[in-house]
Amino acid sequence: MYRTGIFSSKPIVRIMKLTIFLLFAFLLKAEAKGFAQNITLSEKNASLESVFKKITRQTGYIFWYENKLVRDAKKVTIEVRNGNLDDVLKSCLSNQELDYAIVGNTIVIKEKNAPDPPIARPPAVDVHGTVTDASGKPLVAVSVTVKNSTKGTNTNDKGEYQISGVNETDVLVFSSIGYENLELPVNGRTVINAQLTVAVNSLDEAVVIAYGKTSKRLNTGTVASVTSQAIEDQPVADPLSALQGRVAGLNIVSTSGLPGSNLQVRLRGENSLNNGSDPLYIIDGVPFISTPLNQFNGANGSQNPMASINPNDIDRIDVLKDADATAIYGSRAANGVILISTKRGRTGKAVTDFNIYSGVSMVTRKVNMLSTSEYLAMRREAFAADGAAPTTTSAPDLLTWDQNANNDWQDMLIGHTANLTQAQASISGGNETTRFLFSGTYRNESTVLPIDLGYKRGSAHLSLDHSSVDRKFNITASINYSADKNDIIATDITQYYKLAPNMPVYNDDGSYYWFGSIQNPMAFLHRSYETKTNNLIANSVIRYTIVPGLNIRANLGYTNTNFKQTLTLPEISFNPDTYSGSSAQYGFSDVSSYIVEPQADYSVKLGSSNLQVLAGASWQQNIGEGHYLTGSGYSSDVLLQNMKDASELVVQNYNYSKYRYQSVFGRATYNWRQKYLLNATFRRDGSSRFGPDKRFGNFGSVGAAWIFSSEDFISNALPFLSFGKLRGSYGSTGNDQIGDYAYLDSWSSVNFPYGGSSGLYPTRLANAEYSWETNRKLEAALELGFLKNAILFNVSYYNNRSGNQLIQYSLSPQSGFDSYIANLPAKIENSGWEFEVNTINVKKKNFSWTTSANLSIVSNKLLEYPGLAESVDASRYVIGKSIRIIKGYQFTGVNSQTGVAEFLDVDKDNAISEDGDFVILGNTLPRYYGGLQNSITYKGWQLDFLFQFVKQEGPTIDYGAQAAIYGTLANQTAKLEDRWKQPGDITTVPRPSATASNAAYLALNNQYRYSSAVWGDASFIRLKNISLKYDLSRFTRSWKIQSSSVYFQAQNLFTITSYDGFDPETKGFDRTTVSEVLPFGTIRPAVVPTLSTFTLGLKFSL
Amino acid sequence: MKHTLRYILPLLLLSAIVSCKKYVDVPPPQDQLPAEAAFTTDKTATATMVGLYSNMNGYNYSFANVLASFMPAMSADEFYSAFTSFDAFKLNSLTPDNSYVNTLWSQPYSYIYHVNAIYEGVAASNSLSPAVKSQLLGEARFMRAFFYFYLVNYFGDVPLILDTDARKNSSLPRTPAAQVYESIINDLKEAVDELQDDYQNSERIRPNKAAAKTLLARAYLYTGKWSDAETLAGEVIGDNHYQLLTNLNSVFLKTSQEAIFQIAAVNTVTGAGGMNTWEGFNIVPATPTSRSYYIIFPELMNAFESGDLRKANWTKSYVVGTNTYYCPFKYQNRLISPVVEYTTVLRLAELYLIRAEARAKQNKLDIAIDDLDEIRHRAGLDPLDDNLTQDQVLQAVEQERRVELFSEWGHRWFDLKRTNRADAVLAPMKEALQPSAWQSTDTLYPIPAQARRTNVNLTQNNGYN
Repeated sequence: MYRTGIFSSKPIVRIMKLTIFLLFAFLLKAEAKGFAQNITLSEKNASLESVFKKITRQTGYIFWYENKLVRDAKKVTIEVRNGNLDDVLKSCLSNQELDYAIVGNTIVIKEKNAPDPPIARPPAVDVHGTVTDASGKPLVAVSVTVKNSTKGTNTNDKGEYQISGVNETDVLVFSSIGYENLELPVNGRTVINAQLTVAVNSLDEAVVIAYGKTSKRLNTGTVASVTSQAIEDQPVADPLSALQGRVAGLNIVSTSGLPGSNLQVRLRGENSLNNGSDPLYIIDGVPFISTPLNQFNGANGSQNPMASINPNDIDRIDVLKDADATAIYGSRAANGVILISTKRGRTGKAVTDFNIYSGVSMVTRKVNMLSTSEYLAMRREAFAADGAAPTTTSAPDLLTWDQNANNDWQDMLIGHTANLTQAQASISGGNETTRFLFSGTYRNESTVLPIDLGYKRGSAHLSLDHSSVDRKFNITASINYSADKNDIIATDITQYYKLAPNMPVYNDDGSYYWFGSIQNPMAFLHRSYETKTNNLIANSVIRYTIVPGLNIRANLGYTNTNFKQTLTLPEISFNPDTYSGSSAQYGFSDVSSYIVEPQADYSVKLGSSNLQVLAGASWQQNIGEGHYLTGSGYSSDVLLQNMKDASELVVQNYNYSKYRYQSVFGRATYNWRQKYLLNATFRRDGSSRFGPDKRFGNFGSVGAAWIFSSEDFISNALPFLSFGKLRGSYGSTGNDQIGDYAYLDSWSSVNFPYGGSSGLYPTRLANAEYSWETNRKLEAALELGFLKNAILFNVSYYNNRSGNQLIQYSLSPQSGFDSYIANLPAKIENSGWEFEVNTINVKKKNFSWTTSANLSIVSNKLLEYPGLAESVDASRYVIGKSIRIIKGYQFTGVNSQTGVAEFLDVDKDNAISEDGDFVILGNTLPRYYGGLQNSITYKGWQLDFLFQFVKQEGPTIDYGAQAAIYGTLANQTAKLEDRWKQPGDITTVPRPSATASNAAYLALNNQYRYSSAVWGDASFIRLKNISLKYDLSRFTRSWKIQSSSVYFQAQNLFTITSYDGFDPETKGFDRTTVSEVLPFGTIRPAVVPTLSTFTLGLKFSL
Repeated sequence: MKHTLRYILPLLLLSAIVSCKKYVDVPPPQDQLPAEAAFTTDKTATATMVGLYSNMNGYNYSFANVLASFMPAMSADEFYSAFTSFDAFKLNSLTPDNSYVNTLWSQPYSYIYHVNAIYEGVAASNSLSPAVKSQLLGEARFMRAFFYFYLVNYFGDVPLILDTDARKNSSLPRTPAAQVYESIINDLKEAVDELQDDYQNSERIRPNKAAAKTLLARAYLYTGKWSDAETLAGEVIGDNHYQLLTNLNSVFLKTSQEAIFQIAAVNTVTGAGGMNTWEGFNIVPATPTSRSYYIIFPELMNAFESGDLRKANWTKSYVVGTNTYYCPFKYQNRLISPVVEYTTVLRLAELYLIRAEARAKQNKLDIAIDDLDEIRHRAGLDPLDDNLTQDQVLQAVEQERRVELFSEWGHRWFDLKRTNRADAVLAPMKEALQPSAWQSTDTLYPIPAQARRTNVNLTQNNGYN
């Protein structure tokens, strides 16, 4: 459908038409249901009672009669198609001693010719009452309806309701998001108070969505949630790591095992050729700036700003995926939205919680290298096969160094055990009107490096809620502050895993040993790199209820992140032959933002339907500023941290940007009898990132859902189906991750003054005409619940197409610039299937077992790229393939006579060259991934464990320009034992070569490193997390300890993979310069692999 | 209730929309100067000009420091590098995807955009003082001519781009070399008028009138306008600001009285001790006993007459194993603070050689020899025989240019090409390094592949298809 219909040229208009059509369809249907007298019956000898029931179902009219009258009536045989009510009733009662009268919605059955009995006028009882939660706190906006009727209301701000005209036999239904539905029969009462319990049924649990809340049951969009329990089960430093493997469609890849390192987060694929594909993060309503603030990089690459958010302060994380859920965030929602809500205070006596854990970490995987004797044998073989003689300059390992020394470099460099401790204390409490929570957390982790370094973070979280006594006014405020210090080194030394195993580290006098241009990795440990981050997020929501159902609110937020870096390069870390002076680098970045979002929401009951309308506006400003200095000429290396001691200080960079953003947005949600749901959102955004005439854009979505399990014909036919929902959404979102001011024609300061004067250069070839990348998202999903929702199953299909790509339009360099930013009508499709299953396997008093699993099958495709063949991207992309393909040579094997690697000559020109012989090696995006979580409780014990799996391919350890040629002065992995050794050998490992001019060497150097031989499977299954808790409360209660537990937690326990390299997740690649275009950064093999962590903890409340 | 809704919501939306446009109008960033402000004052307009020189010399392996001097020297018979990445120059086996060739093409063109932007901005400005305006227009024209001079000599016909309409310029085809020279000469004539006699400060790091005359004299020489070349060279030689220095070790100092135009050191932190010139940084051995990675071809070493002070002062020997090699040593400082040397672009000695050649071409042999003798005298060599024939004088000019201007700005490579001597001189020498290394078509560098990929109208030079 979408090919010809709504994806065509004027989608907005089409969407609107579609909306109007759907809206009308619903309204018409509602009317037909309410008043129609189109009755279809086919009954033979049916009881009158059962016929009446069917009429009620079809018309909404209810019958009122004395039981005896109807029970004694004759059986009915009737055949009618679209008959009207009067005719049907007459026909039913024709040979009975009965008559009828219609009073409003009620059909009164009476004896023929009898006067209307007094009870025939249903007593119009007025029922009122108060709805509270388990603690007795009034619940606002609880829907109270009369079952099987159109009557209903909502509770006011004191939790009170009143419904008039309720029959004695009616049943009241109380429902509210986050609570179990409650049904109470009237039984003639006029005061009915209800107490709702928090939903344990996950369908009715609250789900946080943009600017509001809903439940899984009523949601028209796709939202996945991770709650504090899952986050707390994991001893991780940042909240994003805690999401790995838990959310369908969310692929999170760590880039290094060093603390503070960045994560690559992709929600449903890569939507942009050149620009950011990061999701939008919103913490307590405030957009969080997730772009690293680095002025320069250290060993952990760029620092992840999320690392300064304490995961233990987080209450829940909701991941918004489809257009319905995200379009209200408009131009920044193309890559999905991640909403983080922090914890809030609980009503009741103040409770103090303590949570302390401590543990150890080590790298998940190492690679198996050749031993010294195997290595030396390979080296000798390489020289012999080349016909070259080793010399002291070309082969110190064979001629100079100790033949028996056997350094396990991995063990020396990254083989140490890191320690980890985190302690948290919090106090929470409150009364009916005011609640508070204050918590403080301290975390200290060291590294797997051989020296004492590491990461320290202190964080504080304060949350306040206050309501006026009449509950019309409510204010909440929260403040999150953290300060961290990350002490690591300047360069990741994992890359030295392949030094010759017999290379000496020290000279006899204890000084560092140096040979040629080979770095001594131990000397690198003297290059310090320290970062300090201060992060403040403050927000407040002020709400006022003008009349019940109508609220105005304002969301106010402020964030400030300050990031300082110091990197030192002292003399001792240099080879004395090339040392040209000690130096240091100092980086300072600061970014602050504010947001103001006034909103109004209105919720109204229209008969048996519910309409919610939200309108709001948003003003946001970010100011980023930073600079970076390099110093040299210090009086002493001890003073490298002190820039005042530098005799020469040069400002290498100064950056400043102001980003302003403004929007109006609206949403309307229509809910008819909790059966048909329609949701429409709209947002108009203005962003300063575009030229003056291109700043504004419109975005929007429509979502609809049909809870078919509420249809009687379904519930009758499929009694085992406790929940069934079909839903779909379509909409557009945008992406503006292109940086600030790119439209501005300006001059920038040059890096160095000239003759004492500062200079300017043209910053860019300005183009004021470019606009948003747009992403059109289509979603269809089916949600099923079986066996009273003990089994919940979801499947969704999405198809997202991002177009209007902002690319660097290439120019011929003669024009003065290589490119300028412009929109290209290239189109990228990300599509996939997501499956989620949640089951309650056993639920008994002392034993329960639940399982949840998710699976995402993803596909990424470049659909269109006009002019690709002539563009600079001609060799990078292929229409119909993923936008993250990697090209290289097709390895055809090792010549069994010469041992030289051979490759496919695609263009048959008898030479292997990049121009004609590149084939697609593979794709850096995964094919499918997911997780499997089990939770088991038995008496006081609770066990949770999560398996994460990823099916993907990628570069192996020998891929890329930095891979050492087999046979040169560098150790190799143990697979070299299978190398070609003599004519006739059939193997896939070429012969080693040590001489640059040799054919074997050239093949290894020029082709093999970039070929399919070193590209392989990087799939893995990982026991991501295990958490075992034991509740000690019953032992400790006597000590005035309310509750207490001990626990064991572990992260990344083991990995099953056939990956040839370090860690299939990081792929062992230095991603310090990772960009969208350079998925492997500078391709410098080896970063510290992901760590395995084991902790023991204690938790108690006073 | 309905009324409240009816009034509040539209008001809310309206207020948002009304203030929309203004709110997202951000002021220009503090780290950038909007183009319209750049040419409003003398100071900022001047900053746009010095920004060019700073960018030209900020980083190693740029056109204006290392590449313009090293690459043609390797293509010719001056020196080569121990790094195999430069072998394609040494063996004249360049391919269109050579990254250095790409830089030699794209960098001058990016600088041309920069000077075109200055030219347009300054010409359109009403608020600059006349003196600054004239100087900047002249400087922009001088630099544009300068870049085209090198482009046309590396690549032959090149697109002639004289404005900032980059989208249009991106697809322009190559302009015949003669027309490019016309533009060069036209720009330089204007620059001679517009530039001032004096330098802009105590150093010679921005072009003045004499610099324009020098380059114009060179352009006349290359286009066979002998008498014009002679006249202009004479004007600069007669200018008492400039003199040949008797001490060869002072020629390349930043205080040199022989220098006509130098590019100042800017990136003085790299290497921590303070950089002088990138040429020195690359060539000069790290320690007195260590090696250089640049090696003068024996042909050049043998070209020095015995007793030539230039051999003694401007080359340096070093030993690797049992072999002795020589590297250029005009720039003698690798690191060392404070900065004492500047990259020297134009210097007086060249004008004597231009005038000598122009005079010889016009058969004014006596005074041609006089000019050559000035240079030879400074180098500690005897005067030439007064009775040389025209051919012999021209040969003496070639020889003198070779040993005087070696390793500077591609003089030797251009001389061999413009005098049609490349085949005769380079074929035997390069083929001794590698069989069939030399082709006549090697005198032009290939048009870079990237440039051709992005502009289908660019034809390739012969020999590279």
